[in-house]
Amino acid sequence: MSHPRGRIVLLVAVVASFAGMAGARRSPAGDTRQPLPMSHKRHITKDMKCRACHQGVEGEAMASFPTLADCMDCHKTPQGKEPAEPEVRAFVARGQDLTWVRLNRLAGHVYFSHAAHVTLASMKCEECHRDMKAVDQAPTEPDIHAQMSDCVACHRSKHASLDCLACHK
Amino acid sequence: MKRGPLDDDVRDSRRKLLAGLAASAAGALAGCTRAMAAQSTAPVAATSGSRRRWGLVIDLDRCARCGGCVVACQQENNVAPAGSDAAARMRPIHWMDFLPAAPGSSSATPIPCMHCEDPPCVKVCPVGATYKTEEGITAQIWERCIGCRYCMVACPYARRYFNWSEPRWPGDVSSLNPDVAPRPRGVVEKCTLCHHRIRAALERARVDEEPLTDETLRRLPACAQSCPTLAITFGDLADPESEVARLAASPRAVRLLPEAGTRPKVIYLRETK
Repeated sequence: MSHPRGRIVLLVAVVASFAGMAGARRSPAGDTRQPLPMSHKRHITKDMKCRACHQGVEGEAMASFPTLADCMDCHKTPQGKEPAEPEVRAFVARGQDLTWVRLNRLAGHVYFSHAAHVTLASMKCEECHRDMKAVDQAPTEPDIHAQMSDCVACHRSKHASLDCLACHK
Repeated sequence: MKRGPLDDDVRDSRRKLLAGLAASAAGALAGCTRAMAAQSTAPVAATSGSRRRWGLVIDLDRCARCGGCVVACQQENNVAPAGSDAAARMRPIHWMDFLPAAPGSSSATPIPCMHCEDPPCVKVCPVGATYKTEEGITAQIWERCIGCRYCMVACPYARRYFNWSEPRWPGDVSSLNPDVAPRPRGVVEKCTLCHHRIRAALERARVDEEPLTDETLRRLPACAQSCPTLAITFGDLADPESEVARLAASPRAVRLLPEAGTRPKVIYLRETK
C-alpha cells in the first residue's frame, strides 16, 4: 500500500483538477476557488446571522457549510439585482453539487467544538473569526491563524479547562 | 507458580510480552495470580478537587474471551494492525490485549491501561507528555512524546506500546476514526479510556441541557460497547449510584498487582477460588 500522506497529496491534486474542470472560479485574492462568488457582506443582515447558513455552529463541533437546498430556501426566487445571483439557481438547473472549499483546518491532533464555544461559552463568532460583514467576496484564505498559546491564553482568562485532553486527541 | 496448558493466543501474548518488556515487568505480571488472590477491594480514594473518577469493571466470569474488545479498540482508536514484520519482531500494538494474568491455569485476561490513581508512568515522563487528568484518566499527548520509553519500563502492567515503524492501515486513510489522532513512528501510545467518546458525551449533555446518566455511560468505551456478554462496564467510580461503583464494591472485585500501590481504576470481578 502506498504511504497515506502520498495518497492525500494525490487526492488533493485530483480534487483540484476536477474543481478546475467544473468551471469553479479563480478568485482575484488567492488561489483557492469557491464555487460561487458568495458575498458575506450582502448576506449578513439584521435577520440573517452566521447560524442561518452555518447551521452546525450551535449544536455540533463543526459549523458546517450551507447546502444547495439551504441556499434555495431563499434564492428560489430572485432576491436582488446582483448579476451573480442567478448562478445559484444555475447549479440546481445543472444538477450540480455545491461544494464549498473549507479554508480553516485544524491540526490533526486538535479537537475544537463550535458548540462548546458558541453555545456553552457564549462566545461571539468575531472573537476568533474576522468580521465577515466586511467581506464582499467568497473567502479564499483562512482567517484563523491561532497558535496553541492563543487558545491557552483565552482558556486561562475565561477559566476554561486547561486539561490537555480538553483540546487534544 | 503453577500453570496448566495455555491456548495459542495466550502463548502468543506471553511471548510478545516477554520479548517486548523488561524482565521485571513480565515477572511482576506473571505474579498476578498471587496478587489477585490477595484481594484489594478498598474504594479508590477521590483526590481533592476532582469530581469524577472514570473506571472500568471487567467481569471475568462473564468474559467469553472472544476478543471482540481487542478488535473494537483497535478500530476505534486507529491502532494500525501489525504487519508481518512487526509481528515477527513481536511488536504489535494492542491497547486492549489478552494476557495470562488471571487466576486459574488457562485464563486469559483482557487488560487495558489500569488508569492508576498513582500511575508510575506519569512520574518518569521527562517531558510531561503523559499525565493524570482531573477525572483520573492516565492521558498521553502524542505530539509531546519524545519516545524515550521510560513509561514503558515503569508501567507494571506493560500497557504501553512504542511505534517502532510508521503506522499503516488497510484501505485508505478515510477509513480512520477522525476523533482519534493517529500516532506517528517514534512515540509511545496507550489506552485513553476512549476519552474522545467521554468528551463528546459530556459536551452533548451540556449542549442539550440533559443530565449525563449512568445508562449512557455504561457501554461508552469501544471495548464495553462491543462486549457481547456485557462483561465490561464503564462509569464514574466516585458516584456511589453508578453501576461501576456498585460492581467495584462486590466481594468478587480484585485489582491487578495491589502490592504495586498503583490503585488501578480497572477492577476485575471473579469468583474466589
